[in-house]
Amino acid sequence: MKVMVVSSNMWLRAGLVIVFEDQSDIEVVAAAGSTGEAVQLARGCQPDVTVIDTSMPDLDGIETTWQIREENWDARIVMVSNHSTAEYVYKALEAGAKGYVLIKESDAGEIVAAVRSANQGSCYLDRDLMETLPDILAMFAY
Amino acid sequence: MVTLIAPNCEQYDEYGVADMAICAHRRTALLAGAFAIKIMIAEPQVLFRSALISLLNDQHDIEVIAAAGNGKEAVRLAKDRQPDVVVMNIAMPELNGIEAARQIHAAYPETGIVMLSIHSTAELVHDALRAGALGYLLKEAARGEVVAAVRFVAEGRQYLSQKLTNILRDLLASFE
Repeated sequence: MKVMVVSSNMWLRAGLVIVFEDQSDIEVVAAAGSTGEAVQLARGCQPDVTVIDTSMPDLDGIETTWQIREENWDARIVMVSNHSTAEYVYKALEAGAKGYVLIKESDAGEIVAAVRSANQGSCYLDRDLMETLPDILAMFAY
Repeated sequence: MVTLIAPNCEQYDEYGVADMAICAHRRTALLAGAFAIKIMIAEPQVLFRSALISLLNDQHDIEVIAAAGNGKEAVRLAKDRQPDVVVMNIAMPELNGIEAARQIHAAYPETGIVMLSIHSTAELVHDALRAGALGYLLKEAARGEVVAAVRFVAEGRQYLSQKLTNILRDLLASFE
């Protein structure tokens, strides 16, 4: 599958590219450093899954998700983040993210799992967010 | 008295992300193993650690021989593998980078240590240098600067992040 990586931090972007390059079923077709770049590259490369890192304050992943989906409503987007509040996760899912994974210190396995899920059209929520799930679902009820 | 060198790093070209992706494929193709600077990386964040390993391994004169995810592991691996240069984050679990640097420096004073941090306070840089570090880099450092710092420290020279020039006066005062 073709994956595009979006992160405003050069090192995290490079780290994500390396994690995906190590997977035989994943090819990184583009890496963007800003929302504008991401929208432009998504148009050109048509990735199967777009991974957006929203842990840096200078890139709003939710806005990026909306903008990518404005051009391609069915775009499969996985968000990688350090925000674990129900409100933020809700906003990401509302924007259309198919997966939400928290950045871990020592393991990038869930990021890859989320990308594979998204490619098959299913949703993936970080295991550590299960406790927050009722709060997230409650927000969808209103 | 400590001599501080903050060379002009704009002379080092930034690599594009595309180059980085190619690096991943070339990781194993190390050319100059015999004369390479042997590096150990100590960084808890796996994404940042992979990016550092890939960047440094792609230099013809540098070989990453060990990688640690916490301070205790860093001290143990430094003793086992005896790298020429240790690139180490200050914020680490088990044992922080400053303390790990102190222990590595005490056991192997010839090992060059480059500290990585998101903080740029004079106190922290002072503590790092006192612990035996020869280099201090901010985590926002460009790739060329990381490589430059490793080469400087491998030669026994000091290297301070260019962005630290604004705290240089405080830092010098703290050593007096």
